[in-house]
Amino acid sequence: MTDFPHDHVRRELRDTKRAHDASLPGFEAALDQAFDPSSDTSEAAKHQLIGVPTRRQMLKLGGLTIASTALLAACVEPPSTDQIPVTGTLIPVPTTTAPEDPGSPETDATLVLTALSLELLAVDTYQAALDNNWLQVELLVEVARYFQEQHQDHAGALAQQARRLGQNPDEIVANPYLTAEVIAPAVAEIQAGGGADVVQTLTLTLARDIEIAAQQTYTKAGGILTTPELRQTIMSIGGIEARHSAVLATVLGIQPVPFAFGPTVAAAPPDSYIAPNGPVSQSSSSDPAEDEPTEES
Amino acid sequence: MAFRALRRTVAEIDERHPDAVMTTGDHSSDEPARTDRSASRRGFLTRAATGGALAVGASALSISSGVPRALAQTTEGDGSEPTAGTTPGTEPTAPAAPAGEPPIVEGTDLVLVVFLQSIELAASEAYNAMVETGKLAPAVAQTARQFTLNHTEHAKALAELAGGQATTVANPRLISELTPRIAAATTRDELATIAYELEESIAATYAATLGQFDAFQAAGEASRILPVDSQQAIVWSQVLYPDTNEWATQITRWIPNFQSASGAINITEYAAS
Repeated sequence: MTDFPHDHVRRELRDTKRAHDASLPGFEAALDQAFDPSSDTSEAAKHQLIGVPTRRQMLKLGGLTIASTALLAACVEPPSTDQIPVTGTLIPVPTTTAPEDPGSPETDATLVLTALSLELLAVDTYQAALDNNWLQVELLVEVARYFQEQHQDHAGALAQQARRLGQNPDEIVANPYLTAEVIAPAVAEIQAGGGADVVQTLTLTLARDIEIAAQQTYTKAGGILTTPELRQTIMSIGGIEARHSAVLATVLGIQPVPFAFGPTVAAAPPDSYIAPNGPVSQSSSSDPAEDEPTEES
Repeated sequence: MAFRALRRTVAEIDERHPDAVMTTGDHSSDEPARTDRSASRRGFLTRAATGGALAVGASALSISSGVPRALAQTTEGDGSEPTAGTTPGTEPTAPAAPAGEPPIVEGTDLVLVVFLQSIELAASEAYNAMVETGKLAPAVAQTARQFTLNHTEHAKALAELAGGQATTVANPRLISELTPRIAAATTRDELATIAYELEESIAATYAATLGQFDAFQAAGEASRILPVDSQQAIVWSQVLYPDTNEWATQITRWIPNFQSASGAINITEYAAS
């Protein structure tokens, strides 16, 4: 018999059901909009909406499934030895088990460095869009530039947090895994052309995907990071990425507020995590001025 | 158009004509929310408790600009920090005598969760009242209904954390201030302004509480809700300025660099019942 936190599982199930119920009205509206014959919704967007993976996503999912299975297999508890010899009576376990705090200083450092790599990824991607004139409408160019500047500021704030955790943020670059698995194929698709409108739509879609990945990664981190300061910092950024994604969704004709709760299914996968690059220290700074990001940072 | 230069210009105009803008405080921020950096967890509650005496100036400003006091932030200095009081305050205490399921969070976390729950319930009631005025166009009314459901779901999620100590009552003071304002609104834009300011204030309140929560469960729930309220604020900004070019002239207001805790609803002034 394993020591299984039943209450936690029940809570998780209730959460799942509630999220499911809450998402239905918005999802139905999104379906109506996407599959309206008069709408210009792309096939890729429809695939994304109804959860049918594209070929690229299928490949990624396959890898993730294998990794997850391996992780689950590793997490299975060995047969319990909590058994009284002779009678075979099992020692009773508590009926309620508080869920374990999922965080640790090492995880904090991993999440902060990964977040930094996502911000740098966003900066680079917007830069590519600007350099290659993938956006035709001047207003969209200005908005892209503004979002890019904000991601640069977010990177500065995260770099400061990384330093406080004993990490070297200067070693972090745009997330290598996502660059290879997501950005490169998307850029290839954009570069294949198909007309200015297609290129612009693909660019906006990629930008939205990045914003969503960042937002959902930070939402996930908000429930894992171990200090209020780190949680507050990450969500002061996550809230802004959510606004970015809502604006881009509006431009693309997609529901700007698709869910009642910030989901985490599109968060950066574990394969993209950036491991600590130095001994992890607990946050110790008490001087707020030390942490203030600047526009130049 | 350089948005940063524009933002500075807007800030200068705001400074010269505070009555001409409908901001609830300085939502624009170049800094991450950091109420906890200069203040302890106890300090947040103490300041909240003593903020009333110092809120007079903010209240006067909010009244003159048509903003309810509920949404006014007591600030000083650069506006990014709640005002520290000089008189010791009384920390709100967790309700006694639990009934029903035991709460998942405890202590100050429980107080904050119940407070947030009362705010979510108030937001649901406010949206219902807005829809019932009949002044919203069908599509906008549908948006309001959707956001009502979202706030109701948020309240339910928070209620699970609070267990038997969850509240079923919408925040009394918030409701008492929003209700007459909604009733007095004569146009769609007036209602959209109320909705926009409400969402901004709730998002700021979550940003503030994230710097106070001890338990990861409470922080996790707040992290799932804050982005949605931020997105709902964006939608109302788009209702207010349907012309994208016009909307973009104020993009630094709609999308500050960081989600600030400035403009958060004060837990003592707006205590859950």
